[in-house]
Formats: sequence, C-alpha cells, structure tokens
Amino acid sequence: MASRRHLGWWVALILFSAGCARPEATITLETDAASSGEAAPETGVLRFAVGGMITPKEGMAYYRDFLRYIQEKTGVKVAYVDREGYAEINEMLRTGQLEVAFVCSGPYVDGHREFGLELLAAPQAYGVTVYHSYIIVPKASPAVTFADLRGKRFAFADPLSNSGKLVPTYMLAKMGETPESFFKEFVFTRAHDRSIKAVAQEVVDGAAVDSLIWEYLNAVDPERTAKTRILEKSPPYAIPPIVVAPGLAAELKTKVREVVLGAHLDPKGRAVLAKMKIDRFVSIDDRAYDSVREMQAWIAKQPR
Amino acid sequence: MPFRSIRRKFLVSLVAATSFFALAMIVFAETVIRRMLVTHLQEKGLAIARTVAADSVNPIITEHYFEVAMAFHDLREAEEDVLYAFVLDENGRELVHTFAGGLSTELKGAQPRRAANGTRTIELQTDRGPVLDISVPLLHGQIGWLRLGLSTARIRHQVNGIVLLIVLFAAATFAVGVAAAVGFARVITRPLLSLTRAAEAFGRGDTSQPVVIDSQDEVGKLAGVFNAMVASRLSVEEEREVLIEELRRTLGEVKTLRGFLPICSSCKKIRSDQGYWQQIESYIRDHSQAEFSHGLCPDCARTLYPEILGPGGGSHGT
Repeated sequence: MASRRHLGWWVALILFSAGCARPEATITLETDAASSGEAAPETGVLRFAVGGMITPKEGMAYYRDFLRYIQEKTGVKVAYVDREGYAEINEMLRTGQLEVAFVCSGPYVDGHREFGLELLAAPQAYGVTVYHSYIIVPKASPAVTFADLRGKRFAFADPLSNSGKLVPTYMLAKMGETPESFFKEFVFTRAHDRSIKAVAQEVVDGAAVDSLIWEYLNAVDPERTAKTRILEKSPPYAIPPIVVAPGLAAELKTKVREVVLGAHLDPKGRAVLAKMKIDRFVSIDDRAYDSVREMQAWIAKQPR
Repeated sequence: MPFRSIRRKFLVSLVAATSFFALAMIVFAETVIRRMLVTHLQEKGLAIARTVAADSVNPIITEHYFEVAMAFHDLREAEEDVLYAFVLDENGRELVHTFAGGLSTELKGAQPRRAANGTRTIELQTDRGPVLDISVPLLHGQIGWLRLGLSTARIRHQVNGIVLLIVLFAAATFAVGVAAAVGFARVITRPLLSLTRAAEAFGRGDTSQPVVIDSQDEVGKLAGVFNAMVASRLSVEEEREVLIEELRRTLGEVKTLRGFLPICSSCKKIRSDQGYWQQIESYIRDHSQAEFSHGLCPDCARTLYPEILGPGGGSHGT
C-alpha cells in the first residue's frame, strides 16, 4: 500500500527532482493541554454593552467607533460586549458583569425598578430625545391601519423592547386585543433591523420597530427600508438611554458621562456621532420614562 | 554496425512509446489533475468558510462560542474533508476550536493575521497529513479570523488511483502491443526472409526459388518486383543462349572466300589452288553455299537475240 500511495511521487521525483518537491516542515495541529478558549477576566476594564437593539453584526458597525472614542477620551480600556436580548444585558448589569450599556427604554424602567439601574445620558436625534414605535408593513401591503393586520403574521423585536413589543402590545390592549388573539402568529426577531428585513422579504406581514433604527437604516442604506412602508407611528416615548450599573465607581461614572456629554464639542466625537445619526448626548431625567411605566402598568392591569 | 532485427526495433519502439505515454500521463495526473482537484477543494472550502464565517459573526460578537463550536462540529460531521476549524480574535486569541486538546501555537501562527480583508489559502504539511488551511476574516477582520483546515488526503488517494489506472492501462497496452508487434513483425519479416533467401540463392545462380507472394503491401510488391526481375533476367538469359546457339550454328555453316582469286580476263575462269581452271559458277558453288540460276541480262539478250528483242528490248532472267 505504501508503494502504491507514493507511486506518483516516485515518478514525479524522478522527473522533477528539483522542481516539484517543496520540502516543508511538518506542523503539529493539536497540543495535549486543552485550552479553555476563555480569556481570564480583565481588570480595570469598562465593560460596555450595546446589544438588543440591532443584530450584533450591525451593532458592531454602529457602536464600535463610539466605544473606541470613549476609551480614547477616558483612558480606560473599554470592552465591547454584545448580547442578543435585553434580559441578558439587564442580568449582567445587575450581577456586576457590565458597567455601562445602551438599553431600550423598557429594560431601563425594569432595571431601575428591580436593581437601581441608573441613567447616564440619552442621545438626541433629529433634535429631540424621543422616539417612536413604527408599525411597518411590506410596501405592497393593502393594510391601511394597524387593525388591518388582524389575522396576519407579525414580528416583535425583543420581549422587553419598548418600541418593539411594549408599544404595539399597548396599542392592541387599547383595541381590547392581545398579540395571541389578534395575530395569526407572531415571532421575536431579537433585533429591529432583523424585523425590518423580515417585513421587506414578506416573511411577516408587519412588525413594530424602533423609529431610530428604521430612520438610521433609511439614511445609510435605503435599499433595506425601500420595500417597507410605515403604517402607523406611536406617540413619542423617551429615547433609549445609556445606563450604568448601580455599583459603578462615582469617579469613573463622572468621567464617562463627561466624555459622552461633550462628544459633540470635539471634532472627532462629532464625526462619531454623525455616523450614528445622533446630534449629541444629553442628560435625561428618570421622569422622562414615566410614560413607559404608565404603559406597563396599564397593560399589567388588563385581563389576560 | 550491429544487426538489429525489425522485431527488436518494433519492441524497443513500443517500450519507449508506452513508457513515455505512461510517464507523461503520470506527470499529468500528478500536476494538472492534482492541481485541479486541489483548486476544486479550495473553492469548496472557501465557500464553506465564507458561509460559516457569516453565520459565526453574531454568536462571536455576543460571545456565544458554544453555538459556534456546535456549528463547527456539525460541519465536521457533514464534510469529511474538514479536519479542523477555529476562530482567533483580532488579537490572535483563540475563541473556539474543534480540537479535543489545545490548538497548537504552530498552527495558530501558520497564517499571519493581515490587515487586508481578503481570504488566504496555504498548503500545510501537518502531523495529520497535508492540509489546505483557509483563512477568512470575520466582519472584515474586526472581530477576528476563521480558519478552516481541509485534508487533501482524499486528493492524494484519488491521484494515486488515477496513477495506478494509468500504470495498469500502460501495462495492458504494452502486453497487447508486444503481441501485436511480434505478430506484425512476423508478417512483415516472413516475406523479407523469403526474399532474402531467394536473393541469396539467385546470387549463387540458383533461380529455382521464386518468392511466394501472399500480401499486397509494400513487401509483397517488393517480392513481386523481385520475381519479375528474376523472370526477366531468366528470359534475357534464355534469349541470349538461343542467339548464341544460332550464331554458333550459322558461323559453322558459313564458308568464307578470302584472299586473291586468279581469274581469266577473257573467259572469267578461276584457277583453283590445284592449278585447274574452273568455271566461275562451279568455283563459287564449291567454295560457298551459293547456287546459281542461269538467265540473260538485257544487254546479252539483245546481243544474242537482236531479231527478237531489237536494240531497245529487254528480258528477265529465269
């Protein structure tokens, strides 16, 4: 068998003794010691989460430069953390695995109530610090109002998302409906851009998405929103903020807040914000989120 | 110049042609076919790596490495050529891999991380055989690189199979060729040998061995020409012999009149060697095979018979 296996090489060696053979060192693929693949937790690092709003791939393009800017300006190493779901991020903030995060308004309200999650700043986009829930449908959909989506397939974003779940559920509750009773079926896409894609591809008949995400994609990549149409806009709600874990050192919190709030004054920071379609970051009061709390409370009172 | 039989020349030519063909085909298999198979495997590996990389981006960013590891193991089960897969982050730290033990530093460093976003494939000699190592950036290299190892052992096996087939085919061709060459040489050389023997006999003067013509090819034509030449030569010989005999016989019959003949100026008698005067007719008759018939020439006829012929008449001899 050995001679058969090397038959061709013998001939090749005879004919091209100098040219064909490329002697290469043999490398070992595997070592005996199993490597964990897990890095030891870094110390002195500001762990900053960005997940839940858009898919990790899109989030990387959207947030990475902003986090690098914070690292550069604070002098503290910033670790990029992303998770597909607000519940996981809130849990990490609660257990001290995260220091800072972009979260949706709903999860902030939940986190604030449950473990004292604190506001750091809020983005101001298009001149305001509010946003909407957009009910979107495929461009060719015959639906005229949200009520026309009865018996259709619908996409929510995250179960804790304000614009992607709470607001449309509230709208249904006002109609005396629940997602289960109103829609033929509904899914959680875990990201607003994925909901937009599902509507554009007509995988679902409608979706509730964050107005900031839809407008951002509409500005930077219009093809992705071109096959969708805004059916309804919800009333304004306080914009998703940057939050910090309750245990974060005051000095570090102050340092980060100063950098974030002053980013629009710095050319480099301004460029980063422009890329994110954000005018600036501003301080925001917890009471701005009372409308979200009221909505949660109203829904909670409804009979199921 | 040593003698080289046609049969031997045929065999040597056949061995040379078969060997050259076989070697050329083996080289072709080892170079062109192997390169085609490697290229095909590389394209397939790139397609797999790009798909896996695209699917791995989100779980890598969200640190759901278990999902990636499961996907890698599913891939290895589905694609037998996939020897390993692993992901290194942008700092070269391993995030997930398919090895039961650890990922070796040698393998990790076999492909340098590059700033460019393109993919890269290199061939590695490893302790588990030759491998195509494909490197694909994850999110333009921002979050790391996916490395996929494809074993080329199956290609080696396929090429060896092709080489074996070529060798067997060449051997079969050689065996059939030898038999054909021997038969062919025999068919060609048999009339040549017969012709040679006939020519040798002809050279010795033996013309009794005609070459038997049993083919219509060049050799048969040559034998035919030879036979025709021999027949022509024999015919010429026979004609010459007949002519010689005829001349010999004629010469035997001819009596030659030579020298001075003393002849009477008046009566035209000739004096023989014995001193007798003979009539010219009897002398010539005795000394040659000529016979005389008598007649009158016109002048004499007019002289002898002027009353009949007159001065202008003529007569023919009898």
